[in-house]
Amino acid sequence: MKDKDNILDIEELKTYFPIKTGLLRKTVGFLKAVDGVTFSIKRGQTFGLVGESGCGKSTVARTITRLERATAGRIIFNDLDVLEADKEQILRFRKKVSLIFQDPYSSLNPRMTVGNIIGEPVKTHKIASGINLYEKVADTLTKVGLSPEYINRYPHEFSGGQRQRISIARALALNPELVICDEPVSALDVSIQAQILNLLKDIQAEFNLTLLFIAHDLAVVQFFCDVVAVMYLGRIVEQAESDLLYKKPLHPYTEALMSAIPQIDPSLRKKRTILKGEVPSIVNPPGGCPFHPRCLYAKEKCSQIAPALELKEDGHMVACHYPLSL
Amino acid sequence: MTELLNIEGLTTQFYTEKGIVKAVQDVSFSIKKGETFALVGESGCGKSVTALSIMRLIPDPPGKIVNGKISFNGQDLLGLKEKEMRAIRGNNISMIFQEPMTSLNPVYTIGDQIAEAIMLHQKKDIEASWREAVDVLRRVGIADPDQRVYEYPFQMSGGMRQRVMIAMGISSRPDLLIADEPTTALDVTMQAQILDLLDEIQKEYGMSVLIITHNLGIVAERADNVAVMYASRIAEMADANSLFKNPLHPYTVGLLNSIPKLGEEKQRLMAIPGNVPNPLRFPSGCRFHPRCPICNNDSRCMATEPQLEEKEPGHMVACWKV
Amino acid sequence: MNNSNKKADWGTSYGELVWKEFTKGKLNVVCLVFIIMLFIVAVLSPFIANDKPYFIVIDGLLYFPLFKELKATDYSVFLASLAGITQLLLIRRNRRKLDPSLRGSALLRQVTVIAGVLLLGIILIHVLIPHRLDAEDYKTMITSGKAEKALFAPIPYGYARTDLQNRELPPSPEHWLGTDDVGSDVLCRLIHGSRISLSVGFVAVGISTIIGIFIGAILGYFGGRVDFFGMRIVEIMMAIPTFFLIITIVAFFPRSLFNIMFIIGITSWTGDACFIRAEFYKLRKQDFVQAAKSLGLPLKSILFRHMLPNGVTPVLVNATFGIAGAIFIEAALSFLGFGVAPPTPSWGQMLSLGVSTTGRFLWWLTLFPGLAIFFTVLAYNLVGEALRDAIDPRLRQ
Ligand SMILES: Nc1ncnc2c1ncn2[C@@H]1O[C@H](COP(=O)(O)OP(=O)(O)O)[C@@H](O)[C@H]1O
Ligand SMILES: Nc1ncnc2c1ncn2[C@@H]1O[C@H](COP(=O)(O)OP(=O)(O)O)[C@@H](O)[C@H]1O
Ligand code: SF4
Ligand SMILES: [Mg+2]
Ligand SMILES: [Mg+2]
Repeated sequence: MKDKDNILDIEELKTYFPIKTGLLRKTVGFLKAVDGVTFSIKRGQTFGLVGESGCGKSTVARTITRLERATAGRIIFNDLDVLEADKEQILRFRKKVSLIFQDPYSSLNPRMTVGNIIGEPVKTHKIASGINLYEKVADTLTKVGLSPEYINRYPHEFSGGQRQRISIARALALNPELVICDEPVSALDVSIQAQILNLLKDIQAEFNLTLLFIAHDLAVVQFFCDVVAVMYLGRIVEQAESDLLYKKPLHPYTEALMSAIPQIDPSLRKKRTILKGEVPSIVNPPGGCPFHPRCLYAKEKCSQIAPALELKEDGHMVACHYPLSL
Repeated sequence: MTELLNIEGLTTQFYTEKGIVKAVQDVSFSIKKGETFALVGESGCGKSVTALSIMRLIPDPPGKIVNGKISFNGQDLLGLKEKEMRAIRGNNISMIFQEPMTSLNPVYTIGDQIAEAIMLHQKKDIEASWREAVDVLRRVGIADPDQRVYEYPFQMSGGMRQRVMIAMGISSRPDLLIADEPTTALDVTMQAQILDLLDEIQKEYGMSVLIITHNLGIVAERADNVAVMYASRIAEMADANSLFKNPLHPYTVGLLNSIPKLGEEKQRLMAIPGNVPNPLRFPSGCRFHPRCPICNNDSRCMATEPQLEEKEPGHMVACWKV
Repeated sequence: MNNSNKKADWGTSYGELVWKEFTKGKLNVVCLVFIIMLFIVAVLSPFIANDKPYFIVIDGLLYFPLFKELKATDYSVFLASLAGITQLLLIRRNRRKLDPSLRGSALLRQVTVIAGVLLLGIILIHVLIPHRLDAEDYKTMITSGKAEKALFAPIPYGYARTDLQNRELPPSPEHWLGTDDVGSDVLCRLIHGSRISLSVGFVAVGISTIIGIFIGAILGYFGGRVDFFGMRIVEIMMAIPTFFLIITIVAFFPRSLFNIMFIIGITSWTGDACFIRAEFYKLRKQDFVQAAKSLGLPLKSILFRHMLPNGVTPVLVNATFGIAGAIFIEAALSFLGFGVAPPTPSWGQMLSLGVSTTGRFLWWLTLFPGLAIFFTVLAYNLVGEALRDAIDPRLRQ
């Protein structure tokens, strides 16, 4: 099972949040934010995770980094079983895996200077200290396109794009192997978004990073990533190399998602398949295929049996009883 | 087609502690009857303030429309008394906002809110207004409208609330609907539904729509005419086809290159360098010159503000080098 | 990080922003100045109002009765204010000399050292300085010609000195604010009373803030069951009207200043606890705290470097209101006769003397202490409010 090219293997990961009510906070059910997600990321790869808001993308990221407790499943990073790891191993794991958040305004401590924000983790992990620490921080700032003069500034003095650069610097300063980017450009303006995407590309090439890139914009993911996985209601419904996914979407949801993106170039516009209704509540997901109430191709089987994610052709996986174009 | 709205030289400023924020400067455009006009630009460029100026909803203080003329159906809006303006607002011109949660009152049912608007503008009695509210909710694609009228905003999803906002906006069959980032808070699949709904209703009612967005894709797909705003001014204005086929202003070109396009194979995006300027201190000359790839320290760009000029038939650009 | 950085690249810190915002209001500055003056008066009260002269010459020999009479509490107050001023100066110096990244840890070190010195000093003072009682009436020495020369304080009366010939006098050139039922000068007692009021305010709020932060942090950080049961206890505490609880407790204990401070302190921490709990609860889910966790920073740093500085502001604001509240409670207690025992001067207790045993209404005994309480409480409340407003717009960003 374990491929030694893989840096990260996620197997049947489940993260449930208990729903509590009443005075005594009794658990009456579970919100299945992540419900059986399996994927692997190869070293040096950019792996994209895309889906509408609330489908569980952030929860996957937060569970991998142990900010959320996994309900079941396995996470293997290099040779480390992350969910079983002891304190020491986790500390080493945290050095190698960094997280970049969506909101550039809340992800930096407003009371700390840029120098401290970037420097504190460096010091904690004993990568550098004293004058070397200063150098390390200044160097990292330069790498993300900020002047080292900013070292004594506070976050409120920066624009959204600059803050996101600081976040990237903080992640980068630990010399990580895997960087998980949770919608790093979703809150930014178009022109700034392009700058940050370019920066991430450059840094990835320079430091030979592996990226798990999360976004809700399929166009961004498709442009940025080597492999894309599409999530719907806590599960991966399709996974393929990005151009394959674009040229030949197999899952009806992927097709609809793609066709809903407004395109500038009329030649790139696809026939629009407008989905009916809304994303159902994740507390009471529909039985069978979770997508069947909105699916244009649903047949009787779909409402009864949940399709599993299966390999259909070279690296193209889909969870659908009646995949398109097959 | 005849002109419905004509704006000339609109300038709106905010007098803040830190100085004068020139939120909208010398903006002129006109919207014809039945067309969709798009105002596009990055956040902070003055799109919402333009819309609020048309509605005369600029909070005063700190804001003030210091210059310009807005004529709607031949009527000078800026010369109207507040009372006369109130009769136009929500009746002849309606507006829907980006965040439907904050623009609906949380303590009233949606039926109450829609019916109130109908009562106010169409002078109908309460029963007729409620009946009409149900009809208009059905029109915007809400299932079981007879039940839904009794629900509160928090009981609905984001997409649903935006439908309710649209229902309120169109209940008086306005001549002009201003939609300020109507889908920015929504997911793409919901966005497509809402935009399709707006299209349908526009065709049915024959109204004009001023759509404000930062998403060029939406503009390309839905708008007839487009104005691209940068730093409180219009940088380029044309019909949608020629703007996207043949963008002339370097900012428009930069924006178009910044967007990853589905299915396109590219290694890097052509990003516009630098940051959006601070509205308290706009650069001298052309506001775009510090970020402009074709300026090359041209003295005209750095010293004098270019005016919007017709460079090709129907295609207006504010740039020295085009 | 390194000190070669010029100040020019130092950004404006959060504190500086709040200060700028705060000083924008003229009234805020006026209130702050008033509070500072009150402080100066309170600290220097033995030098401003005293029946002992600074020096006196008796039979050709020079004596310093005022200095000889200073008590251990006076020395403690001097030491405490010295410590406070030193700390403020150090903060100023930190801001000018230290790299912003180093200020936090430098401040922590300084506070620890100064607090240690202060505590040790106070203990030593109480051990070393003897309690002296000097009942000598130096004024009669001058009038009777026993002493040749003396220099008295601007208000030459003692707060504990009784003068039965001059009872219940209205304001006059000798006694600017009149005298009370035992003939003590009202202005003198007001001045000495400011010390009582301020120390009650500060010590009581100090105690309640520390308890509140501690309990709130535990509840907010751990959440779950700890929080559930903890909150019920806090709610029970909140449901009991504090003032009546204090009256009940006070009835069982001797009427001493310390007891009052302590009791006010341990009964009024619930607000702080709730604030801190709510802040920590919110902060726990904030991205920058999550980021700190995901970067593997130690719990100590997450709690005290990342969470506390971001959650402490409502408590600081509340403390300002708390000081006003404590001053008010002390005045009310003393007014009702549960407060400090005479002759210790307290504003509330002076207020209660407004109606004399003979049934006369002594307006100067009601008006002046009343005004003192009113303005002090008002100033603290206004400062608290201004502080909240100065902090808020940044928080909303
Ligand atoms: N700590 C939590 N407690 C309860 N529910 C949560 C928590 N975090 C996320 N959720 C829920 O899990 C679902 C998935 O959330 P999330 O992973 O943030 O989605 P995405 O990042 O794809 O938008 C949402 O319905 C959200 O409300
Ligand atoms: N009430 C206000 N007070 C001060 N400045 C404002 C106010 N409203 C808007 N502005 C400023 O006006 C400029 C344009 O804002 P806006 O029109 O909302 O931008 P957008 O294009 O994103 O809709 C911004 O710089 C904004 O800061
Ligand atoms: S399994 Fe059925 S319902 Fe689900 S996506 Fe495929 S066709 Fe649609
Ligand atoms: Mg998310
Ligand atoms: Mg806007």
